[in-house]
Amino acid sequence: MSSNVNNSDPKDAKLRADIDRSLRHPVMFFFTSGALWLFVAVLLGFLGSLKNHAPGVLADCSWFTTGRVQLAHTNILIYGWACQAAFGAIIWLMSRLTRKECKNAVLILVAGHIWNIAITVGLLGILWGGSTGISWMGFPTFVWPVLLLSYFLFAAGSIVQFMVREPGHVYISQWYLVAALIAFPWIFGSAHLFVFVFDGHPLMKAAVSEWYHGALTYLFFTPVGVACAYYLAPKVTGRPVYSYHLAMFGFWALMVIGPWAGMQKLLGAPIPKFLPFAGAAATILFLIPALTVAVNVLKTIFHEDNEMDVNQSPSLRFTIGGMVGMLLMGFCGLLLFTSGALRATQFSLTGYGYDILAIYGFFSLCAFGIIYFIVPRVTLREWLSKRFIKWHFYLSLYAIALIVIISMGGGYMQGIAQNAPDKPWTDAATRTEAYAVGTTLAWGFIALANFVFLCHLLLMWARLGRRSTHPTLIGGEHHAGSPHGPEGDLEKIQAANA
Amino acid sequence: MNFKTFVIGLAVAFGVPWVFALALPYAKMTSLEPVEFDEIQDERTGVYESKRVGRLDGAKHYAANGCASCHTQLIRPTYAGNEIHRKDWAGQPGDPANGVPDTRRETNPFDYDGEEFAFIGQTRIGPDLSNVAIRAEKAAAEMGISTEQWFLRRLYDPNEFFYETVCPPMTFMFKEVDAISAVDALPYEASEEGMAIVPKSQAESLVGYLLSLRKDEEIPANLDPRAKSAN
Ligand code: HEC
Repeated sequence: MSSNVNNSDPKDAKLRADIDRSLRHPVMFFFTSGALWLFVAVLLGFLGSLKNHAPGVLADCSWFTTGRVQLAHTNILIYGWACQAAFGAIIWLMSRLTRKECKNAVLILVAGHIWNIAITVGLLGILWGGSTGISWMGFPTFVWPVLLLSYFLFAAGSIVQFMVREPGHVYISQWYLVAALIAFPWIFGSAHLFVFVFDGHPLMKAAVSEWYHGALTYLFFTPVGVACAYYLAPKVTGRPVYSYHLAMFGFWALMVIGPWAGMQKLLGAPIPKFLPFAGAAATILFLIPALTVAVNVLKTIFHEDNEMDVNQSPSLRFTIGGMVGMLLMGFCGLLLFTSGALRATQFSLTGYGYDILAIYGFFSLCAFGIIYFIVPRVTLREWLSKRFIKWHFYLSLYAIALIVIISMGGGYMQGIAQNAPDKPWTDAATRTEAYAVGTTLAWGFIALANFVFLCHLLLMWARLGRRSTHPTLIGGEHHAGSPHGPEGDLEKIQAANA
Repeated sequence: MNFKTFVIGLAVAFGVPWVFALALPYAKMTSLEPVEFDEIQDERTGVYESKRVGRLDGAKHYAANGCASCHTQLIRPTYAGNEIHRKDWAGQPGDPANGVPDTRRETNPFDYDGEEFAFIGQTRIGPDLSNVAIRAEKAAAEMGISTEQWFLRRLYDPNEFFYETVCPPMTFMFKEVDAISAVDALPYEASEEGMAIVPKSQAESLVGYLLSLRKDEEIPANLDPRAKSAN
């Protein structure tokens, strides 16, 4: 552990404490309601997957018919959990990195409530039978303007914070956060206008909805996940980021490649032919920023000085997991979206598996990392149990591994069978069945993992965490240094080691 | 990197794909050029207008019940997939010896006429539905019932057609009425004596939509890359 960082400046410590206090309610609101929705989404995912091989379950109940459950599952996972986890992380990181207290906590809370009410209404709308049927835009159409409004209400504060920051160096995480803050309304707004408001060709509407799916993944969830990783790695280990130039390169590579992805879903549809190919190319090229970021973050973390942190810090554990997830996304993209493989994977389970890998295996793990870091700071209590954290981690890992093998490998096999026109169609269906069972199992793991996480978080929210100055570490002994690594500012860590 | 370069950089990175992959193709597809029949190849003239029969309002039930998460509506060209060769998915293979033309064809942009959104679909857990009405017509003829009845029964009890299918039953789209006044009753046992199972209006409009899923009308050869290359 490098301790050459001066972290005893009382003024700094007070500022950090003030920032954390000012954010306690908004941040905890987003995280806990996000975790609640995650649990709902996971249960729906379990049910939806179960119905893929056991159709008799809840078969006669209109609210839980297979198609509706699957739509509800995806949309709750995206808007209930992933977006809210991202919002919480953005607000906190923005304040900490611009060194500004949050002045509009009430407004953010109002926005958060609007968002959650809209999601609830949207969920009921889908189950009741009012869905638009579009995979990532499944809520009834009156919901999306409300979501956008709520976004503007809370995001404005973070943007303002950034604009009035003291001049000086902008940290890597901030680039990603600002990019995500700008990208979200741009992607969300234009996609919904194109699909629901303008009077376009039905095929282009489908194409835009798939572009939205890709853009939201690569330009919103990815930057936020990466921002968390770039924040935690140097913060917890007390070492500067491995390479500033790599970071810069990775950022621009993502921003240039990301907005092209998505339309590969329409390969072979009668739309301008380059669109699906551009989409497939972008999905493959995503490997470049993924590799750059992962190498940079992992190189920062894995250093002989840091062995203790790697073994002990829950935040680092999850961040490493997230980085591996992102690498897997890159490599799977390379294997499964080249034009030869795409004909098989286009309509197989692969796409779903890739989404889960992106949302759970990469983004959510990074988000868990930052949540394990932030919550003790804003509640002034430590996590209750290292065992809970470990369960959460390992169950998540098993589940992700299962889903990746099943959906990617199985999806590919399924796609091959679908494309063998002389064999009966049931061949493809039979091949799917075993994989569907596996997916259900994986959702079972994720459900358990997140039940543990949810309980843990709710206890923390109720401020029943441990009153202690020792952080909860997963690797046994407490170490002598300060909790979670030195409490200095990232800038100082960077400067001290420059 | 100062803030100004940052914002300009982002605007370019986001703006270029937005214009070229989104806005321009969108505008272009919104006003499709009408396609004309070709006198030599098609042996007729005039502008092609798709004449889809069926009830397109049923698309909303297709959407809301997530049919698109398991079913696609897209026959891809052979560079992208093989479904054109799958039996009964894209039409009938021709038999040149007996003068039977090849009616198989890829999806074209006019096939979604009248719909709000093209349900290309997410996965093919179930078969492609581009031409399901043609298959249904055949299957219904074999059973000696109307195509509409076939679809209604398929929705009410998919198990009857494919044992242990994962295609979900839409029983909630049906209701029980007094057997005497029942029209279009399904041949299934109602929960009580003297009652009969009949479709609600949603089932009827969904079936109307499914009936519109057939691509067997005559189209200009210009719209069909396969026909074009064959000539
Ligand atoms: C869980 C996935 C799933 C969902 C959701 C689903 N289906 Fe299916 N569907 C299948 C499978 C698998 C088959 C093939 C086996 C069979 O014939 O039942 C099928 C077959 C069909 C067929 C017969 C096709 C043929 O060529 O014989 C029709 C018609 C159909 N589905 C309509 C629908 C409609 C309408 C909906 C929405 C209300 C729907 N399906 C939702 C999986 C699904």
